[in-house]
Amino acid sequence: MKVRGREGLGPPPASDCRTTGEMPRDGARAEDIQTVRQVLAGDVDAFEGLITSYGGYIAAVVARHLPGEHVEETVHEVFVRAYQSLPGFSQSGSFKYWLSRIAVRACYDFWRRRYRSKEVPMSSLSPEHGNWVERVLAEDSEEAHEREEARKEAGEILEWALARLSPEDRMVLGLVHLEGRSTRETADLLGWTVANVKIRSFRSRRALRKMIEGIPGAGKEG
Amino acid sequence: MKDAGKAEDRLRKVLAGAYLEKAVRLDGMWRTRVMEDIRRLGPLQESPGSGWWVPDRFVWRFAAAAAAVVLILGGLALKDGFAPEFEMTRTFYDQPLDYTEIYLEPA
Repeated sequence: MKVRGREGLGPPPASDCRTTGEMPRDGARAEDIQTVRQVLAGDVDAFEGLITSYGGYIAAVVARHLPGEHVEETVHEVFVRAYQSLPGFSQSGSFKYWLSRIAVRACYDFWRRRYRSKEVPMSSLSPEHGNWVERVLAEDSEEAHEREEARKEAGEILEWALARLSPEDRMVLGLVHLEGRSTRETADLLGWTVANVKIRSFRSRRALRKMIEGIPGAGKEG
Repeated sequence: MKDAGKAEDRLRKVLAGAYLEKAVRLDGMWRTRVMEDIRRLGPLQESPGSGWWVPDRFVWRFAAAAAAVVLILGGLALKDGFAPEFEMTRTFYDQPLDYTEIYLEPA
């Protein structure tokens, strides 16, 4: 399913390329190209139009990968980086996709810095989390997991597990397994090879499974 | 085994749901702050104005030609050989001292 010409607010479409395996090239929007040309010609203020169009979209992309308190500064960084890299933007491609690439790489850089300085918060889980995993694995009903408290526990388990992965595995797990992007698109977003993404995807998924099995109270299923 | 797969998929969906619903409300002033930084950076320069500057697209256009030249020269070198005897003779005439060193050097 390709989504054309969507702009702006609301969560970005993780399923854009899920079925086709293609990168979501939603085409170069004439108005974006026009604005980019204006900025390149020296009209700095024209860049504000691009921030207005894509600020919400980029905030949603970044919010998936980073803790809430770091989203704003990273979105800020994404737009500054985009401005500085604008002369390198190929004006035949989609500005939105180009921008999301910068955003994903900024998130990856954030985690690399954090891991290097060992600032990644390591939360701990209680036996209740283990019981919750056990219930999810046992229950057949999908609706049972849609409740607010279920989401809260899922979020806590996810944060706990992601903090224990390397920045590379963390990004791949998020993009491939949780957002449902293709390995090709993930490779393109991160600037890696497809083989590297495939290996990391396999490794991160296995690591996640092991971690969840190791939560106290979450017995091995099957 | 199939049930285990289904259960794992169910867990993945729940985790993905929690992951995807993460939303954030940006402070109303963030756009102004970004624009302040952008204005501080000043207008972008497509060309630095120096006579030595070559745009990236031209560099890449010439990359293909450069690669072709390398291939042709490589092919010629393979075809004609590197003529080590010629090189040795030239070294003997040009730098006899170096030649002696090369000659006496253990293999």
